[in-house]
Amino acid sequence: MNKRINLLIAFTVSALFTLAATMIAPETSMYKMRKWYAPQEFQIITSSPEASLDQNHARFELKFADLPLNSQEALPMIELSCNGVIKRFQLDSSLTHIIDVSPGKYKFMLIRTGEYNEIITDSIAILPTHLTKAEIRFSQKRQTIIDPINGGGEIISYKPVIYFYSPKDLNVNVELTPKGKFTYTYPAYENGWKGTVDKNGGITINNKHYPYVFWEGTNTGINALVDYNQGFVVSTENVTAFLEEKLTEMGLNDQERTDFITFWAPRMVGSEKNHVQFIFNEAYDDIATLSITPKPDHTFRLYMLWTPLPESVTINPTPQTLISLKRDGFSVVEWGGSELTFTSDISFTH
Amino acid sequence: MKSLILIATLLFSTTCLLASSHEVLPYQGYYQITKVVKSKYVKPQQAKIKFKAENIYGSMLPNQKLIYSIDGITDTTHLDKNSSFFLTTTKGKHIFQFYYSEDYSEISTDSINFKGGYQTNISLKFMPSAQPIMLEKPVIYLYPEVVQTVDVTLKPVGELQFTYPAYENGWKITATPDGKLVHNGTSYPYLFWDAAMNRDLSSVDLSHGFIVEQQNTIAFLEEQLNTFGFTAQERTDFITYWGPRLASEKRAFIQFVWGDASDQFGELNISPQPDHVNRVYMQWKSLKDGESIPQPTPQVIPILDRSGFDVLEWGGVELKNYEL
Repeated sequence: MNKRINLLIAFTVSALFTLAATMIAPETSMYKMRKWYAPQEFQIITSSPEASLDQNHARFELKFADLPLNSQEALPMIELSCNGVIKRFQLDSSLTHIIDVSPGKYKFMLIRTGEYNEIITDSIAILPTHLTKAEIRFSQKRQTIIDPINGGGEIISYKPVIYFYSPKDLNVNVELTPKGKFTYTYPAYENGWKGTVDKNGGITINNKHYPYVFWEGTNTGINALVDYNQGFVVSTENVTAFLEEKLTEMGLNDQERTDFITFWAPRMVGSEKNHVQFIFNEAYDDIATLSITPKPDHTFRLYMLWTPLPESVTINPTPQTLISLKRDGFSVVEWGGSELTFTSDISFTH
Repeated sequence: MKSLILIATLLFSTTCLLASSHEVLPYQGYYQITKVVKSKYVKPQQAKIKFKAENIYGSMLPNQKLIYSIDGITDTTHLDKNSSFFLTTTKGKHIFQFYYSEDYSEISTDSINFKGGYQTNISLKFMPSAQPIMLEKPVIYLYPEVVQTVDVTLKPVGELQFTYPAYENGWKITATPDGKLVHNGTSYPYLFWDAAMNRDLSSVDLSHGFIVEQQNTIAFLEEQLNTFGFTAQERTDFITYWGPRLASEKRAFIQFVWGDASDQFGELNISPQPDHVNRVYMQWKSLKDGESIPQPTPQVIPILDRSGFDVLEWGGVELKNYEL
């Protein structure tokens, strides 16, 4: 008889525990945004009775498991809110933090100094006498794409593409001189692209047809071009609509607009808040000069400087006046862009 | 009564099993103390530790950088030719963390008590980090024989991330023979989608495909895509997307996936049914120095039938989280 009761008790306790463990497993939003993830920010590892705890006590042991070692930061300050009671502490080398509580339900919020996402948990139940061990992993707000070969100083000019339009077939010579250096061209740039612009669109080079020519390069001077006083602040949900509106206003055609948006928007939607500044025509020469013979009737060059903004940053840029392109005769359209890292030491007045 | 006890016992053991599944997570690396041996070369007040870095395929690559911390103090070391490194420290309790690369989760140890005068061997088991892999840039071109309304629906494996034009339970478009697609009054040259998916290398048959050296990337892609029968537009879009990525790798394993096999990345349904739905995916992996696979059998690239109402889709994945 006794045995049966014991078993039943054991069963009930374990069922409760399992239920609790299942219920409190935090939801992950792994697929929501294309970033680098901490797989689970708040992960219950074990919850089991501890001999030193009586019926009125329970304990959380939080282990800060995933401090990125690749940064050279000192151990961080942590701000911990437990059911709304906030305390701050400096994490020590044990990388753990103990919280003694009464049995019940607890909701945690954790903030780590620096560019990390805050962690907010669901309500987590803890049973009497139990020690619940959890692992905390802060995810970085955003990692910036830094040219892995050349280090931080060089900025990549992504995907500049050049489209050619002519009412009749036309032999052309296109010379592009980047301020930095080429990392990729297609078709291969060999002292220029020499070919025939097709009246039906595209360009034929060495008997092969291309809808556009493509180049990519690195450049150390692009950071200096950004001006947070100018341009636009775009939140993640408005990225597509914003680009559609501005590119259409500039006069990009369906092909150019779609190519631009399908290249940039998937990257930009990974950041909550973005600064966008457009660079046009002569100003584009700071990134690369373009010389075409015969001289086109119209050349339109558009470069986007895109900076993902940290949440804490508020800027109010003056909206830029956009330039729109003309297409009659022999016309050329180029677009490209760079992703920049927000630097607060650039002074801006507002 | 006996049966009740039996049921309770059964349930109890099941719940125990369930509960224990929370303890070890597949993506977390872990460590094992494999040997503790007294050594006359280690001073009594000191402890010597040998760390060996391993993953599910065996040893990690030798001579790689490893970032570690001991008691919260970070340092960098290099693995030796046996993928190991040695550390001498004071005897007593120490706590470690190890970071190999973003492709693997970090390993954090408990506080380990090291005996003075002993060498302790610890094996570090790195597990791939649970980053989802991006299924990148599938774009869909449609070429009907006459102007017609077409419904396109996707069943992606994983979750859609970005679509253009916006995918709302499908795309309803007016397609024209020159490839122009009109959606809600705006024209598009193609439909774009991408998705995050979980994909592990064990699901990839590495025995078929190509190993391509950096300098041959463009020529290789041009040749294969021309064989498939890509148009100039499709070929250029493909190469300007993947080319810069592949060309930054010294060597890469490349495998094409086409036809029904493409369903592993997601299903594509088009109504009315086109005469030919041609889907071409590329999965590729950068091969670092030291990584090697047996020479794969070159794939025989088919010539796609592009007659009639024809659809072409291309996309790809970079297989990241693994070393070979």
